[in-house]
Amino acid sequence: MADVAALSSELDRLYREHYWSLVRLAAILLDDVSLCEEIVQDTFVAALRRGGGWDDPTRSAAYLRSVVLNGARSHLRKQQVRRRWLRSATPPEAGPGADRPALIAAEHQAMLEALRTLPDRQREVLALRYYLDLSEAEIAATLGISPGSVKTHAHRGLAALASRFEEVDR
Amino acid sequence: MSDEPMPSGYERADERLRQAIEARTTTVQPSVEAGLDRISEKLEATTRLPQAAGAPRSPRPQRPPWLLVAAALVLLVAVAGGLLLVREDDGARVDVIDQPDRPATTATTETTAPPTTATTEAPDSVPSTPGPITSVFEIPQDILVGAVWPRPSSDVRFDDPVAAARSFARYLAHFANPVVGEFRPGDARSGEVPVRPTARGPETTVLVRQLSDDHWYVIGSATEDIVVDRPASGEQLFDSRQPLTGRALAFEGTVHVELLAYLADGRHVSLGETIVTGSGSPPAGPFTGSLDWSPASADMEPVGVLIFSTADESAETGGTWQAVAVPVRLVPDFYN
Repeated sequence: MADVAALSSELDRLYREHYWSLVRLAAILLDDVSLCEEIVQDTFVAALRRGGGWDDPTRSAAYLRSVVLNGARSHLRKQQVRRRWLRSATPPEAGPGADRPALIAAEHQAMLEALRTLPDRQREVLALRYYLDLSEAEIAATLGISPGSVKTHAHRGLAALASRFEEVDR
Repeated sequence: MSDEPMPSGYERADERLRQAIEARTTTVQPSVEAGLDRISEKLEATTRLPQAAGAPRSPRPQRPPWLLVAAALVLLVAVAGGLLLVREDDGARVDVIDQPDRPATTATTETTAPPTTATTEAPDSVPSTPGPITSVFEIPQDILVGAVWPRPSSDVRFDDPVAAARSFARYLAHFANPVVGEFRPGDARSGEVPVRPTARGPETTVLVRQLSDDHWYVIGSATEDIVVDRPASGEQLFDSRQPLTGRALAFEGTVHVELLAYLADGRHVSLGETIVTGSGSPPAGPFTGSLDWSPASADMEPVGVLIFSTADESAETGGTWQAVAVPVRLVPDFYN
């Protein structure tokens, strides 16, 4: 067990409350789970060095999510360079059958990959909305944008995904 | 979430996305205890003082806390005496270091190090190796307060302004593969170097100056699309929420802001970061925001640099698209 004494009790509490959800939030955006853990660990290191100010749980959670999204965004950009050539990847074959679980998994993966190709803001708004069920105000606070922008990004992102999968379904 | 009419397939996408995210997240099972171990290790590594790493070097005298305070006071007195930063002249802000005509952002910075012993020519390197430590009292004032990159306390120096600009772009501003143009002289000892993320990308103008040790230093950078009003170059940042204002034109209006400070060996550390939002379409729109920061350690130098940057949203380079570097002075509580 780590030397938890090195962490403040407040940060320790935040860690216990948020570590899993932050890793999972990053894992929506990135494939590599160990990389996601790395990003979240770095987030907590940065938060501890940043010092106190954790008396407002809403603000502290928003700060942690914001830093994790920054880290995921940075890595995603590098991935996108490599993946640009693979964007026309073969869509999953449709149709129920004996291999239905595998097909569903493939569909989920295709959806996540489509999500990861959206512009930063759209992708992050959708991840925060569908994973953490945050309100528009909470998403706005996390991303430092207005609630109106949250609406717009969510709508555009979902519309883009719908359009993409309509083509696949045809 | 939106009042706009839903397109066909929107609801199916909504449900599919929810299922995909649920399926993904339930398979991710991080180890809480291992994570805590790693955080403790990283914390220890990042707060370790510079002497911990590297080959043998000059012994570093232990500086008592009062010396830090005294050094900070000397620095502040120097500012008051007009040696540093900015002065008011006919109501307009004027750069202290006799900059020739150039974009608004300019330099001022801080701290320790050995200009007399450091003469390494490193055309494109990051000052990661700790060098001998020199007291702030031994450093020429123009270098102490004028150099953003490389830091006076590192052992990297540049005899070529273009090399200094390239190193700044790559290692401080995080351009992936900066396209560095030719030096544009201003006066005999200063000028600008254009840096672009790609051959056709927007220009970040890197301001360079030959300081009193005859080496070239980056003293700031500016772009057309990001204009920073606050903090001004050389402004004091106190240990609290720092207001950020200006105008920006960027993809979705998003500008990343990071405050970097230097340890006594010249390496930089991040003290805080945030995002501000300008305009996503011309003309540039105003942004306001604030940055929470706190000192990394008592060994931190009392100056830093704020980097306002936009990312390459096309993912063409995977790095920075434009960057403005604003040198600032850091006045955390323990210097007060």
